[in-house]
Amino acid sequence: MVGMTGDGSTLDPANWTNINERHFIPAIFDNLVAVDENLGLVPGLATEWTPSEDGLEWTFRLREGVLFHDGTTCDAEAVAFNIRWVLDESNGLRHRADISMVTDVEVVDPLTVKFILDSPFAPLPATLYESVGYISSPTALETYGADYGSNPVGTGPFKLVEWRRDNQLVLERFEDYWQADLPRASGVTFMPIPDTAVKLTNLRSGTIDLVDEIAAADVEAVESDESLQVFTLAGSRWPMIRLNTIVEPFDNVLLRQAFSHAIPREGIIQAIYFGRAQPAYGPISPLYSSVYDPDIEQAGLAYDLDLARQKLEEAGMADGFAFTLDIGATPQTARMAELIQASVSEIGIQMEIQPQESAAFTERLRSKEFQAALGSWTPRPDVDGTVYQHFHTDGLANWVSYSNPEVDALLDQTRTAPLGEERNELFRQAERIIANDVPWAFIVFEELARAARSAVSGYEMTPDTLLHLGSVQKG
Amino acid sequence: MGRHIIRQLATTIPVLVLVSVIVFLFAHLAPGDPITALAGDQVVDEQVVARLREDYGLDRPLPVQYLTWAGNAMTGDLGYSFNTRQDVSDILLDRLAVTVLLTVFALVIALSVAIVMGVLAAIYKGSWIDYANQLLAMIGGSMPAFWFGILLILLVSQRLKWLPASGYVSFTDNPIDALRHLILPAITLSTGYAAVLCRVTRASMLDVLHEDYVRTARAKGLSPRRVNMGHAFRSALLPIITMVGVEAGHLLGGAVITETVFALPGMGRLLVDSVSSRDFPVFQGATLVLVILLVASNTVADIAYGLADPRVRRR
Repeated sequence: MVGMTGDGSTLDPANWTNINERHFIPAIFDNLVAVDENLGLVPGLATEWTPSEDGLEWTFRLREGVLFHDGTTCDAEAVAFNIRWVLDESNGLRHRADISMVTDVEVVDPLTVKFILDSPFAPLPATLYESVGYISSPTALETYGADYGSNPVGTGPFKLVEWRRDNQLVLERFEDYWQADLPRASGVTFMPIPDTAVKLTNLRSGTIDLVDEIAAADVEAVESDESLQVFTLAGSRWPMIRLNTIVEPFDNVLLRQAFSHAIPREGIIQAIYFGRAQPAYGPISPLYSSVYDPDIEQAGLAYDLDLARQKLEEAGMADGFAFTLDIGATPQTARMAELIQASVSEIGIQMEIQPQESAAFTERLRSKEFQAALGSWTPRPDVDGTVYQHFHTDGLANWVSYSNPEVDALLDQTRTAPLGEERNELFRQAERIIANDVPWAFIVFEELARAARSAVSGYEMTPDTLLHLGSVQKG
Repeated sequence: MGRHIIRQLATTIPVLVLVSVIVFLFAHLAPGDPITALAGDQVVDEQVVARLREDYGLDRPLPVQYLTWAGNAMTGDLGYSFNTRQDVSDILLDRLAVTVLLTVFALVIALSVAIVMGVLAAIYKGSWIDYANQLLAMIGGSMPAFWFGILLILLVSQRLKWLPASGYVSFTDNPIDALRHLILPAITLSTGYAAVLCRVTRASMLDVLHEDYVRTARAKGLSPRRVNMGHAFRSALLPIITMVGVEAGHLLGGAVITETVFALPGMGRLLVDSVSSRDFPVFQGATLVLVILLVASNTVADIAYGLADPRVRRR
């Protein structure tokens, strides 16, 4: 029994919208690729994958003898069917955008499938890992159509028994799973418990065995409880403030820099995270161990009120300025906003905090009507998923309308360069420019904490932050 | 009596129509978009967004959308959820069962506690029973439900391990387990309500006890028990019935918080989620059902009023 913060509305991997659904999906589905403890890609349903010379074709070799929960075979035809299903816009799947560069898929032989692209895209396998690389049974897709989200059929370790929304999602062991000894548990039940304190109580009383997340404030108490164990992962989520670069006052880069210099990162880490976070100066989390640049601290705009005042003077606004910060209506975001508000007021910046109901917040963000908005982001297997859509001029999630030709050029190169150190360096160069331009004011990288009963074995925290329960068992 | 009931029912129809228009307008005029609300800051395929908007009929003028929805609703078709694609009527039936069970359970607890305590407090006015009762009512009335709920969970579930802390078991699956899961939520939900009813009962009972006919009854030599329960209590019931009807709305409102604390899949959580995801069909359907419930509970109160007081029937 796993306690979750909330429930989902769909179990279709090509249509997910929230983190709960992302936790459920790997229990029911396998992806073409998988990630290891360093966020490196390792074989999943595909055993190997290679791009063509020009980067316009990707060939995936599939594992043999994999069955879907409905008994049909997962082969090249099935994979091709899935990709074409997503690309067909009449199916209305939100993650179609993730593979917009894919124009077609070809079945080469029963276990080989080829993706045809309209432009080179180095992070294709990592992008598939996020959503559409989870393969569904074509028979089920055709049978259920628009209702597939409630009737998922994958190749994963567990299959669906019953889903009563906001009550429980019941899964049982898939006996014909392709990994011989897995899954270890006879089944998994996810139970959404919105109240953090109540969720923890359920864990303590033994009603549930594992919880998706515990608050930083509770970590110490849970660690000292012998019947429980804690799992942590640094750099798992990063709250930040989006600064709208085409609306006053943050259309002026000096004011963005002044603001960033006035964010009390250490104070926030102590007051809100009880030390369980680290300061952020750029968009690339230390979780990306091969790309992360520890020197970003020097390039970035750390807390320094004198420097902040200097920037204000340079901008000709020595007395400060006023703006409104949109926040979602949760206690933690409100506290963080208040700490920042108090700090920036010392240099004359008047920040009005405007809590928004979630759909209204989203609407203001997407229509780019805001001045500044407190949000957060979580890691995707490739850095591309963390930076390209946010900071490229043509990025589809560039809600701050940030545009810097140098950054565009670097990010374009990362999409065609082969994976490796050369590409990592391109990301680091782009990060330094972004850190200095401050389209987002970076705040911290949080540490994610998860807890389980001591009797639970086989669970390991993975850097994709998702729950992988195939090898977990009780006792 | 029959005419009284028909008259009561007839007045509810314009209320329902008016409410459905207001609910529809609120839902559609509030900022936020049903297609992108769930996606937040994530990328969503633009072609898909356009396509979905068309599928859901969101590209048509508001009056057309309303009339289509209202027309379908009259035939019992409330549409399907934008988010889960489930039939709205199915969702509502599922959720309603939980909330109705919870509120009825809470109502029974509240009424039994409030009437016993209120009547005793009135009869023994000024005694320690009265003061203890008033103190309890004050505490019960001022405790926030979410706090009291968590307190109960910590004590009864975590410390004593008597009852489960969260979750819901369907009554048809296992009635005993279902009740065990509902005891704590029902107690939580009933406290504030019981406190109000208790005060009303006490006040109403006191008023009646000072009436001439009660004095006459006493003078006739009837036993205190017959005076209190036979003569006084029946008259004292009227304000209590009114209060039950009026406060039923608060009970449903309180169910939202209680359902969240105890992780119950009821109407309250459904309503909150459907608002924040702008799932219009679910939101509209759920509100309509809740309004019908409210109107119904007031109507039942009115009818009960007529039963308890013959004068109402004759008017």
